[in-house]
Amino acid sequence: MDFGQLLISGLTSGMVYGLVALGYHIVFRATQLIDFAQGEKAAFGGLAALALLSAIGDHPWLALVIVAVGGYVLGWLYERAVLRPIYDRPAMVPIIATVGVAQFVYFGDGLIWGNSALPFPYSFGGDRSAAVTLGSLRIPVERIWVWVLVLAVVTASSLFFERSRRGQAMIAAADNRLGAQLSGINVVAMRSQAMSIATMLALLGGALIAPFTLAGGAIGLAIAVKSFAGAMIGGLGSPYGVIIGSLIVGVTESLAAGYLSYGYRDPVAFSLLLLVLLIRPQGIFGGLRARVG
Amino acid sequence: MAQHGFISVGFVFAGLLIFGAVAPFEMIYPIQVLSLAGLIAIQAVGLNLLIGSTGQISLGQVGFAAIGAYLSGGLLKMEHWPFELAFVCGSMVAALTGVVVGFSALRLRGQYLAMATLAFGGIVFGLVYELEITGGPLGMLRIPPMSIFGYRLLSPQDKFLAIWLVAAIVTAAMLSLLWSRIGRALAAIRDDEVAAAALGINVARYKISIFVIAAALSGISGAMYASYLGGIAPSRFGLNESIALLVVVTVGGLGSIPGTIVAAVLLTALPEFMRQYEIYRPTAYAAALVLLIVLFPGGLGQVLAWADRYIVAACRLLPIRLRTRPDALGAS
Repeated sequence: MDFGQLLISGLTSGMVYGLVALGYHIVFRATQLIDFAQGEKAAFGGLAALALLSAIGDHPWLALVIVAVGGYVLGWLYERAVLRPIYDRPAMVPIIATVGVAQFVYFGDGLIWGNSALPFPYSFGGDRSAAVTLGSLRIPVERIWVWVLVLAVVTASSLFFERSRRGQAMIAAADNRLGAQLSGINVVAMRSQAMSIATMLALLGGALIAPFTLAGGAIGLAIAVKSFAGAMIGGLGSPYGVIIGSLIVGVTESLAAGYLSYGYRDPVAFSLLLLVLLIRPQGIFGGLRARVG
Repeated sequence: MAQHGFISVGFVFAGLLIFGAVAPFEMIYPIQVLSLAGLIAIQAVGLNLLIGSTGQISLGQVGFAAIGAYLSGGLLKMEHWPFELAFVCGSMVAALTGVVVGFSALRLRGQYLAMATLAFGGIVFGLVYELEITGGPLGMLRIPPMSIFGYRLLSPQDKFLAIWLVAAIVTAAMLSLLWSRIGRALAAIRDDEVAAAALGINVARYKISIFVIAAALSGISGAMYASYLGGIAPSRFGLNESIALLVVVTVGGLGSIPGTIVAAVLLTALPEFMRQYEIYRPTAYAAALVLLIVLFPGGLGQVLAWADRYIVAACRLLPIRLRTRPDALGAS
C-alpha cells in the first residue's frame, strides 16, 4: 500500500485514540485513577448521536448539545454510583469496577444496536466530498475538521487545568486530598465534576468522530489499551503528549497493518505499550509524573 | 489470609466427585458443563490468588492458558508426544512466560499492571490468530485426548473426574500454601509492601512466585482444555474471556479460594438453565461485576464463611468434636 495513505489513515485512527487518551489524561489529573470505561463511553456517544439524529431529524448541532448535556449527567451518575463508594478501597477495586462498567456499556451497546459498526450518514460541518490534494495525497476536508477539533479540545483542557482556579483545585484534590481539604477545596465536588467533564468529552468525542469511523462496533477493550499506549508514550500528565503519543500508536499500527499483515495491527500496538511501560514509564514528554511502579 | 468457607467447599468437592463417579450415562450434558466449570475454576483460583494474596492484577490471564493449550495440543498432535509430557511441557512454558511477565510486573503497580497484562493477553491472542503453526483463526483441530500412563480418558465421566481431581489438588495446595508461613508473608505484602520488606520479607521473590503460580495454573487448565475439547480456536482466548475470569473471581469474593470454586460452578452452570436469555448474559455478568465489587466485595466467599459457621455450630450440638484452627473460622 501507499505510504502516504497509510500515514493518513494512521493519523485519523490516532486521533480517535487521542480523544480517548485525553479522557484518561483528564480523569487521571483529577482523580489519579485510570478509567477503563473511557473508550466505551466514546463508542456510546457515537451511537447515541446516531439514534438522536434519526429521531429528531438532521439537526447536528442540537444533537451535539443533547449528547453533551446527557454525557455530563451520566458522568455525574457514574461517579456517584460506582466510583465514590470505592475511592479508598485497594487499588484493584476501582480497576475491576471500571472494567466492569466498560464491559457493561460494550455489551449493552451490542444489545441495543447490534455488534457491527453502523454507518453515520450525518455530518457536523460542511460538504462531505470536499478534499484537499497534496501531490498524490487526497485529504478529505472532514478529516482536517476532526484534527482541528481534537486540537481545540486539547488546548481547552490544558488551559483549564493550567490557568483556571477550578482546574488547579481539581489537580490539588487529586494530588493531596488532605492538603486540598485544608485549603478549603471541596474534594468530593471536584472529583464529581471532573468525572462529569471527562464523560461529557468522551461522548462528544465519540459523536464527532463517528462520521469517519462509523458508530460503535469494534471499540471494545482493544481501543482502551491502544489509547492508553498513546497516553503512556506521550506521558499521561501532558495533554499534548497524549495526543502525539496516540498519533504515534495510530501510525505505527497502520504501517504494521500495511507492510506486515493486517492481523499484526493489534499485537504491534500492544507491544508498544509494554515497551514504554518498561523502558520509559513517564513518557516522552514526562509532564506530571505518573507513579507507575 | 484465613480462608473462611473451606469446610463447605470440601463438601462441594466431595459432591462433585461422587456425582462424577456415579452419574448415569444420560447425565452426560451436565457432566460436560461441569467439566468446563472445573477448567475455569483452576484458572480462577490462580487469578484470585494473585489478586487476593499480593494485590497484583492480571487482565490477560487467558493468554497463559492459550500458551499451555496451543503448546500441549501442538506437541500431542504434530509430534505425537505422550499426554503427560505434552501437558507438563505446556504448563511449564506458560509458567516460564509468567516469570518474564512477572518480572515486568514488579515495576508496575495497580492500574498500569492491569493495562500491561491486558496488552499481554491481546498480543498472545493476536499471535495465535495470525501465526500459521497455530492454525490461524480456525484454530487447531483433532487434538488427541488426555491419557495417564497409557490409559486414555475417553468417556465424559473419566474426563470429568480427571479435571475435578486436578481442581481439588490445586485448591488443597493453594489453601495449604496460604495457611503456611508463606501465606502470612503474602498477606503482609498485600497490606503494606514497605512494612513487609522491613520485616525481612523478600517482596520481589514472593510477588514473582505468585505470578508464576497463577500463570502455571492457567497453563495447566489450557493444556487440559485442548485435549478435553479436542480442538481449540483463538476466540476461546480473547480479552473478554480474561474479563470473564475476573467476573468469576469477583463473584467468588476477592481473595476467597473456596468462593472462587463455587462461583466457577454457578456461573458456568447457571446460563444452561436460562438458554432463552443467553443474549443478555454478558451484559448481566458485567452488571453483576460492578454491583458486587461496589456493594459486596466478600462475594460467595462470605456466604461460604457463614455456611461454615452453621456447620461448626451444628457439629457442636452433635457429639462430634471438630478440630479447627482458631483463625480458620474467624473466631479470633
